[in-house]
Amino acid sequence: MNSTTIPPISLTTHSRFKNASKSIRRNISSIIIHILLFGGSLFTLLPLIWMVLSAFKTSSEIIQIPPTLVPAAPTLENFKEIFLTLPFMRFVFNSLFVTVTSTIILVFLTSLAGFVFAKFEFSGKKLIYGAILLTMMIADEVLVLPIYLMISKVHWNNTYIALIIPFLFTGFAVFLMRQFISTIPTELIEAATIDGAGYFRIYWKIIVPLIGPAMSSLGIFNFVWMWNMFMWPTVAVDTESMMTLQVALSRFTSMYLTRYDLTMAAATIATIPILIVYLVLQRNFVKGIALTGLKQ
Amino acid sequence: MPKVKLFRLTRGANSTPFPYLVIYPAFIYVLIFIIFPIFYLLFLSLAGTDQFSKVSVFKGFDNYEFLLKDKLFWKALFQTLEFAAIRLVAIVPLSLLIALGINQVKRFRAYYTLAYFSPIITSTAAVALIWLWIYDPSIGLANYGLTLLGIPKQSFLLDTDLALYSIAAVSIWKDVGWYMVIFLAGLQGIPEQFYEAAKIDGAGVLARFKNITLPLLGPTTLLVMVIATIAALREFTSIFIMTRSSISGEPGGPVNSTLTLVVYMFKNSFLYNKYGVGAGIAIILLIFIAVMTAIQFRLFKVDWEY
Repeated sequence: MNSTTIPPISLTTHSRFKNASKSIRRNISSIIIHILLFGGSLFTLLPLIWMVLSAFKTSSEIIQIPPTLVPAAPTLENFKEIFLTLPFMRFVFNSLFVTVTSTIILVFLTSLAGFVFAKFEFSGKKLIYGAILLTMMIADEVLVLPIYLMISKVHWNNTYIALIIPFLFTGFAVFLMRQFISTIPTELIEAATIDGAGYFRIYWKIIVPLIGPAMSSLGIFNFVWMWNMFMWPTVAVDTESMMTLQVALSRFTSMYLTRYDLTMAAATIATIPILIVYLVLQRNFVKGIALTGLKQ
Repeated sequence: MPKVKLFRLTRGANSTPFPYLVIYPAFIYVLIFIIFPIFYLLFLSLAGTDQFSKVSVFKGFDNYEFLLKDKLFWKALFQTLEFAAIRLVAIVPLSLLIALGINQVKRFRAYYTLAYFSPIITSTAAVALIWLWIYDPSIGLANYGLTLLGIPKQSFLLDTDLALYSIAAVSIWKDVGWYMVIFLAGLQGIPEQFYEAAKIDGAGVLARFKNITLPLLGPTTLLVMVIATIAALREFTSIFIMTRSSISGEPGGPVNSTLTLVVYMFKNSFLYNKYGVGAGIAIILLIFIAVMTAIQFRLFKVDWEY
């Protein structure tokens, strides 16, 4: 209980008076800050709340002027319609499958590589690590054309392989993992080596449990990047059965023109997975941004 | 002997095949999917597709020459910079102000973080669709709001003067929470003692902000500016979805008023099948982004030495 503090005793009425006015002033300024922050937060939050609520509105209510916030007669018709008239389940599956598979593989491969770069010496290390770090300067968008032509050459268009394979290993992820693993004392690894454990077992039994938070940070980021991935699936895939959710959403504008009731139902569904991941792993997510400051 | 093991682990070059088994296959992957495509891109930008044989032929700098004379390319370049500038001017002060506010309060922090962060945890395509509706000239919320304020209705994304600003507004709205978190981390890195000392010296709130917070946030501000610029150069999903013409299916309209380098690259590569021109734009974009990223690494002190 060393956090309890003894309140200072004011000796004169004068200083007590001064303290009181100071604390009132502090309270007022804190209330003003709260009002401003709250107002601003409505601005970022309302369009999203509106999206979710609109997904439950009827097609006539949605074009009503003045617009309503809360649906007058909530309905599930919009969800029913997009799931019945489109292979919407398939879009959801495609997106989830591509995102989860690539994220698991990426986190596994880059943490293993990070372990090796942090704790081993081998010939070619400097050159290879330097080259991998340099690839961080390349934006995915510029590689879409050459990779598209490569994938077309081997006839991988419209396959899951095409959607997944370009995103299994990034310089950023290796860098992040190496940074974390470097902080693990080498003695821990030595001790395990004496016990006769192989290096892969050491990675699995010692390194992985210790870098859990870093791995989940990287995992969340990658999940969101892959989930939102847009330009690549737009060109890599053109059959309806292989479309990811984001690509399907982009077609809504031409398919349904101003059927905003259906669009909002689809947009709501497209947001749920990221929202769940965020709510479950919120702390790692925000910490991850602060930690890396990088944006892919 | 532990010492021998340590020696082996960190310095024994060829004592175990483990690092080779991990890194060499990984490096082959990097060679195939990152390094080779860059050279392929460079080659494509120096080549052209023969109209009849459909075979790539070497053309030297023809594509770059074409781009230099292409009015649309210059328009796209100018609009990309304009887009980045509009975003910067709004995003830096906004995200800083929000971070300063959240750093001051003790209650509802989790709520504020979630609220300002919520656009980021919404699917990018969904964000574009929501705003497409908000901007709808006849039944959108934006015009409804304007009529309530007594301002004449606008056509936003259909107006060549307003379209780029309308998209920038969405982009600012979406990303502000991201930079807020970076600023928050910067603010929390400022030692409390600085403020205590300044208080004892009698410095007021504004003086403390001007003399402690702002200068110490300098590096963070620069970092945010660089990251925000890179993000602006790469913005694609929202422009594509919000500006795609329902008639021609081409993004970047109306009348190319939202055409940016990425969009122009995409159109040349995948709508017009002009790979050479698309690759040329990609190379230019690559150089822009690489330079910005190099600055970012400098600011973030990525240790290249190990």
